[in-house]
Amino acid sequence: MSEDIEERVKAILSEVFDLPASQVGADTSTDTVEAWDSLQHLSLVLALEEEFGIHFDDEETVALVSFPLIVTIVGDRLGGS
Amino acid sequence: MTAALDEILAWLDEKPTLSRTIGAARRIDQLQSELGLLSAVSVLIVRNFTIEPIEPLLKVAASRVGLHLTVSYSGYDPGDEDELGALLADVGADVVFVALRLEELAPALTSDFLTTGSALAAELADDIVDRVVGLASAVRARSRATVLLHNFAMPLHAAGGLADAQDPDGQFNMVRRANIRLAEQIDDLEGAHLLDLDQVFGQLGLAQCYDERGHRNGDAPLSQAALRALADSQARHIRALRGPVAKCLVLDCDNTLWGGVVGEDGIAGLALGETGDGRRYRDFQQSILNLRRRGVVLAICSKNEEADVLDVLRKHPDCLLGEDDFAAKRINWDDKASNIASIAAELDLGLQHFVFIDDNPVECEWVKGQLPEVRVLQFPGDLDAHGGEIDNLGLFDSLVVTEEDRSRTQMYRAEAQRRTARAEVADVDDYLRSLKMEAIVGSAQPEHLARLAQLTQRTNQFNLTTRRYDVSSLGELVEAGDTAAVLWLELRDRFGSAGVVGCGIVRAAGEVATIDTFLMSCRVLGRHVESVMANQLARAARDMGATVLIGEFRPSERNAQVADLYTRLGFEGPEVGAEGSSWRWDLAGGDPPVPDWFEIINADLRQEQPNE
Repeated sequence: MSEDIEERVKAILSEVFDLPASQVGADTSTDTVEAWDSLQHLSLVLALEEEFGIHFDDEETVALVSFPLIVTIVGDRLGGS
Repeated sequence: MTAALDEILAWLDEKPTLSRTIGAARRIDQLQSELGLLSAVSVLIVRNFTIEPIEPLLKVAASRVGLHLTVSYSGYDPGDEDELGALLADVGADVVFVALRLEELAPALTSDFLTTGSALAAELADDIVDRVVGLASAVRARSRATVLLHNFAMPLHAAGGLADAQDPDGQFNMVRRANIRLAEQIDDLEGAHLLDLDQVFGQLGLAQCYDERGHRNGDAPLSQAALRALADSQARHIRALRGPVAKCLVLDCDNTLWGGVVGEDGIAGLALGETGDGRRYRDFQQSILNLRRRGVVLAICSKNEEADVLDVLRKHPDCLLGEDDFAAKRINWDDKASNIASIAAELDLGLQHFVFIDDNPVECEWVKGQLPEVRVLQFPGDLDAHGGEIDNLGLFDSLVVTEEDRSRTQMYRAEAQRRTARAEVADVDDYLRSLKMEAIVGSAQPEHLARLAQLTQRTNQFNLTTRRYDVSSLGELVEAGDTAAVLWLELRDRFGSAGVVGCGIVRAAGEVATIDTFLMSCRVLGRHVESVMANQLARAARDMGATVLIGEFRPSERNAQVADLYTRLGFEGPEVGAEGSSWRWDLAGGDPPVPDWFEIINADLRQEQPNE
C-alpha cells in the first residue's frame, strides 16, 4: 500500500516539477526543488487530490512540503478513511 | 499535426489529470522549441487574481488547434496604463486577454452589495465598465494586439437573497446590465472582442467554478474545472482570430438529417418531428440551419434516388432544411469521396475547408482514407462527444459575421444560375455583356474592414501576395491616408450582388507605388473583374503622387493561377527576385484597360455627393 502511494506521489512530483521520478526521494522538498513555489504548490495539491480522490483541509495543504510528508499525510488519509 | 504531438496528446487523453496536463504542456513547449511546427502566438493576460494555473490547460488546448502559446501576466493591479504599455512592449503580445474579476474590482458591488445600495451601485458599475473598457482601449492604443475582454461571471449567491431576483436594480441584474454595456462598448472598439465568461461558467455550472481554499490561500479563486472550460474557450477564440476555418459542411441524408431510409420507409415513415426520436434530427437540422445563416456553405452527399431526397426537402412538414439551403447536391450511387471532391471543384473551395457528416462508419472511414484533408464526423457519436452540438467542435468559429456571410448560399445559387445562362450563350464575351455587371469600388471605411480582413485571411487562390491582415492593421493603413490606399470592390449583375469580392492595397513612397495586396474571391473568377481592380489601384496610386506602379507576385502553395496575372494585364516584366517576381506599369501612359462589359461605380464620389 505505502509503496504504491510512494510511486504515485513520485510520478506526480515528477510531472509537476519536471524531475526524473528516480530523483524524487527523502530530500525532495520546497527547500531543494526550485520550481516548488507557492503557485506550483497550488497545482501540486490539486493534482494529489485528483490522484487519490481526497480533499485536503487548509492545515494539510500547508503541511504538504516534502515527499516524505506528502506520503505520510496521504497514507493517513487513505488509511483513516 | 505531427506524430510527436499526437503522441503527447494521446498520453494525456488516456489519463487527463492535472499532473499529466502539466507534463504535456512542458513536452509541447520542448517540441515547439525543437521543431517549431505550431503557429506561435504570444498572449498577455491582464488580470487581478491568480490565474497562472490556467497556463498548462491553455497550452494543451491551443496545441489541439495548431497553436503554440507563450503566456505572460500583468501585475495584480493592472490599472496603470503606462505600466501596461511597458509590459506590452516587453511581451510583444499578439493577443491580450483582459480577465478582471468584479469581486476584486469592487467588493462594494458583490459581497457588500446591500451596504452600498442600488443607486450608488449603479454608478459604481458604470465606472467599472468604463475602467475595463478603458484598459482594452489602452491596449489597442499602445499595441497591435487583439483584445479578448472577458465579461463578468454572475455571483454564486445574491447578497439580497431570493428577493434580489425581482429587484431591477438588484445585484444580479446589475451584473447583467454591466455585461450588456461591455458588449455595446467592445462592439465599437476596433480589434477587440468579448469572451462570454458568464456563459462559459454557466454552461459548466457556477457551483463547479470556484475553489474557496485556493481563494483563501493563494488568491486563486477558480477551480480546475472552471480554468479548463475557460482555457478551451480562450483557445477557440484565438483560433477563430487566426487559425484555419471550415467553410463547407457536407451532409449525408438517411439517418443523419432524418431517422430512417427514405427509399424504403417513404416520407411518412421517417423519424423527423417535434417529439420522440424525430426530435433529435429536427434539432440537428436547426443547428445546421443556424450555421448556414452564419455563412457556412451546405451540401448534400447521399446514396439515394435524387427524387426521393428532394421530396423530403420539399414536402416533409418538419424538414427545416429546404432544397435552397444547399449550394451543391450529389444524390447518386457514386462513391462519396469522389462526390465530395466534385463538390469542392464545383464550389471552388479547397478540401481542407470541408467537414463531412455521415452515420455510416464505412462511409466515414472511406472518406477519411481517400480525402485526408476533410474533417469527417460520424453522426451521432462524434457530436455526442461534444454535447450533441456541432457548434461545440469550434470548426466554424468566427468572431465576426459579415453581411456576405449571411447571404453566402444565395450567392452560390446565383452563381449556378449564371452557369446556366452561360451554357445558353455561345460567345463568352456576349455572355459577360449579358450579365450587365456593375463594379462598385471605394476606399475602405470602418464598416468594410471586417469583410476585407476576412478576405485577406481566407483567400488563397486569387491572391498575388497572400498577406494576411486583421481589422486593426487594416485600420492603421486606412488612417495612414496619403501613403496607402485600401480599396474594396463589390460586384453586381442581373442575378444579384456577389458582395464585396475584391480587396486591393497600394502603398506609395514618392514616385513609386507598390501593390501590397491584390485579391479576388474565387466566386467571381473568369469575368475579368481583376482588370477593374488593377485600373482602380493605378488611379489610387496616381492620386498619391506616384508615376510608376509596381505589381508583385509572391508564390504560395495555392496561388499558381495568378503567377502571370500582371503580364496578362499588360504590365511590363517580370523581374525575378528572391521572394517573387515584380512587374511595372508606367502611370504616365494611362491606366490598365477595362473590358466594355463593366460599368464602374465610384462609391467615394457617391458618398460625397449624396444628392446626386
